[in-house]
Amino acid sequence: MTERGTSSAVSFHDVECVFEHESGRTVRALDGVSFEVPAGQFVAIVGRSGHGKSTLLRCLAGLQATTAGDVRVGSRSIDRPGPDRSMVFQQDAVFPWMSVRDNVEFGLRAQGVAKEERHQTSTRWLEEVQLIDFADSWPRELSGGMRKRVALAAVLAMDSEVWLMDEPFGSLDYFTRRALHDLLLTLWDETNKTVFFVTHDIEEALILADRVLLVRDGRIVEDLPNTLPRPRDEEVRASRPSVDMTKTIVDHLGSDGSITLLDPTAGGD
Amino acid sequence: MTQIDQSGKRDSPLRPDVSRAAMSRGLLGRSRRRLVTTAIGVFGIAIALGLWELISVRSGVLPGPIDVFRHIQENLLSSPYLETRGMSSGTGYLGHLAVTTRSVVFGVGLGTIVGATLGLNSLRIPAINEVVGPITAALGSAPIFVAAPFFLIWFGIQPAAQIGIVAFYTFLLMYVFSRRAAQNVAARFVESAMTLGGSPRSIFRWIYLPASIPEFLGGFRIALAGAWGLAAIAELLGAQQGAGFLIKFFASAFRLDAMVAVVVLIGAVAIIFDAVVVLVARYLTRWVESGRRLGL
Amino acid sequence: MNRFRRYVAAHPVSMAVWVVLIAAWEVLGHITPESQLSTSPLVPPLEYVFTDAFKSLANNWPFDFWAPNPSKGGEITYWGAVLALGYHTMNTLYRLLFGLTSGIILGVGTGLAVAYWPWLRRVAWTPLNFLRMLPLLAAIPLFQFWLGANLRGSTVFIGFGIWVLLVVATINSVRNVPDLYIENSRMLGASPIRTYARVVIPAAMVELRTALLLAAGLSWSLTVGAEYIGLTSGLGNLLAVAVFFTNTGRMVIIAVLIAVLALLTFLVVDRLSRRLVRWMPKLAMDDVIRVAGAASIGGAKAVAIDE
Repeated sequence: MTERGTSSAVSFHDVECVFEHESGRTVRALDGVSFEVPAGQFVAIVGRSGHGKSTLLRCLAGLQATTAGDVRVGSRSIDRPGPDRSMVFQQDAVFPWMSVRDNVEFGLRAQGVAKEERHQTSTRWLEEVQLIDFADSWPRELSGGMRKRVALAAVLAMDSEVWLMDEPFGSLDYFTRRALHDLLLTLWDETNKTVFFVTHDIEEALILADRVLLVRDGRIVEDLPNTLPRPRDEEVRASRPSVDMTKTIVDHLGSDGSITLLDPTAGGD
Repeated sequence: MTQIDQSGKRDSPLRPDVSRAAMSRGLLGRSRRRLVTTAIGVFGIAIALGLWELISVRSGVLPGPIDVFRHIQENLLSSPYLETRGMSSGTGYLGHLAVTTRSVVFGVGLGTIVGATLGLNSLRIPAINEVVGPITAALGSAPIFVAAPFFLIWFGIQPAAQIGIVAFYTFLLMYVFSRRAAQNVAARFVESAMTLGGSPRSIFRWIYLPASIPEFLGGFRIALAGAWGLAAIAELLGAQQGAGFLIKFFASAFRLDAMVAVVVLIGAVAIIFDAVVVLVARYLTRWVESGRRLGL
Repeated sequence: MNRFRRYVAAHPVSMAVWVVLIAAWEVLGHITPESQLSTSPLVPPLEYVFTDAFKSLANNWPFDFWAPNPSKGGEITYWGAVLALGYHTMNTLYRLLFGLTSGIILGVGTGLAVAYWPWLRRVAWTPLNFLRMLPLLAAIPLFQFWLGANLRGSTVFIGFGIWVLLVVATINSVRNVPDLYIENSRMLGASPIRTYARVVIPAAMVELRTALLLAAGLSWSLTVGAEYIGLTSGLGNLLAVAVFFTNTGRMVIIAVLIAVLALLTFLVVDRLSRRLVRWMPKLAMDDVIRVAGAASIGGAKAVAIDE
């Protein structure tokens, strides 16, 4: 039975993850990944699609088996999923056959928590994400953004040591995303959990994270501290340090010639 | 057999349908819309009955709807015809229908419980499929006329044999449907449950079970619809009671109107049971997002 | 041969089950009592099936040429049995072909027509639903009295059963074609008819393929049923004769033959219908990725095809 403390450090040591196609082709999704994250840090994992950032997160979640190396949470080595590392998924994973409240209480119920306590916990977190009025609704009655908040509340209710987020806001519109960013940062501030946030959106990474890990071809190619002052409003994001960081990231991840910038001086056809 | 997917989907934009457009624009109220739909349904039945009458007049042998309905009316609750042949239990055709219904209810019940339990658990416990797979493959493709005689030879003509045949085929169908329903539960739900601390047992009870209900019910409707025919055949081949027995009896007496009457009655009972299942299914799947409600 | 060996190696429990089943059959065959009224044991042991039972099929060879005719006093031979099986199989296949093809053509055709006009579909829905619920097999005597116990009668019966199945399936398939395709086509300027013919129908073929496979299975059920009850030739008739004499050995032979033929029909329909959906991208299942040396995850193996 894993303990649920307030927050834990996470470390990867030479982690490898090799896939084998039926056709015999091998794919090195993760090729020797190592890093150490102290407890309470907000880490963004940025990379292009298909380069391994989701695989990295899934290895940490225990949903993906590693073929070499060691993944640790606190002092424990992990190899399977557990409530100490709850995850918010990219697609809509809120259970449609349960009410909003039952969704939030699912993990607690699985742990054997008594009904009264479950109710209290779910009420508290539903209020935090401002969905208490919809506690008894079906997920299908909620918008996409609201369902993400339900997923967040379910993770919060577990009081996990680490929060894992796999491009959770990708399918939402800009304004909803902004609101959820604010909510997420408020909750992180309150609870001080270790957060791993996967995204391909550089702006999102710069708004949210203390630290940005750049993933390319299954390796971490750069480890950038993000010292922009919070709150990171439009002014901060338009400032020189922010723009420089963005440029650095684009340089590291985009320089294989496949991004062509329009050249206004080229002859028109 | 598949059912026509009626609900949840608006008409395709291929041919903008004027009356439908009018309804959706709210020119007709909701209860009005129900009335129109029912009227169209009745109209459809009327045309079908008309076609039947035409065919029967042209054929000269096949009895028309009027004759058949009159026959049903005269014989449903108490049948003087059966009594004159010494075959009656005093309850007319209804008594025999009840026997068939009993076979179907028990057979489908038994087959579904065993089939669904094994099918849903076959993902968790691969050994189940290793054992049931060959049995399904070996016996599942046998048409009932092939399997039923074996049942009859081995188990005689007691009601247990008929229930057994229905249960057997229902088991085969529901095993496959349940297994497929469990397989089609999206991975993200199972993974989400795992990261929230769900044990295999709670994942089975709270994820696989409820998530497979819509597809399971679709399969159940199909199995139930087929069960009526199976029970009738089992009775036709060797029984002293039941709708199938009546058909065989009337065949030897060359009473076509009675045969048609019994077939129509079986169909009617099947529809009633199907309608009840649909009502229950609608309640159980009230959480499903509208769009494609699996024909329920 | 290699694929077979791999399959056997990968499924040891299944193979064991097959062996156990056959062994159990053999044991039962020897220990079950012989009924006074039957010409063979209740459960026929394998050696009986392959010798006496098989030979006795020669009784069903109704002609005087190529092999002795037992009904006229000729002797029972293996060759006679083979010929008898062949003759009756040809009869069955003949009927099956007529019924299945007419059912498919008329069923899909009617379905496509009904699906085109929404008002027509709404009117036809209730009666089609009722027809779907009728116990077809139990109505065989009815059909035979009405239409005659001959090729015409059996074709109409089988064709009707297939027709009901395919009309409903076609209507469903057409309705499930994504609106997106239709809107796209219309926006590009295609008329409703052209859209229907060039876009909707090909797209509907995907779902329809499953129904065609179901129809193949159903056609065997109907054909064997029709022959069992009223006809004087064909595998169903052979079966009925075997049941009449309670010759379980013959029943087993015919049952296995029907199963094999049904499987072949299934494969043929599958192959032919694949041409209809040549354009489809390979399903995700063909591209299964295995992680080398993976540990199993919590026991819950979720297999999902994300659409």
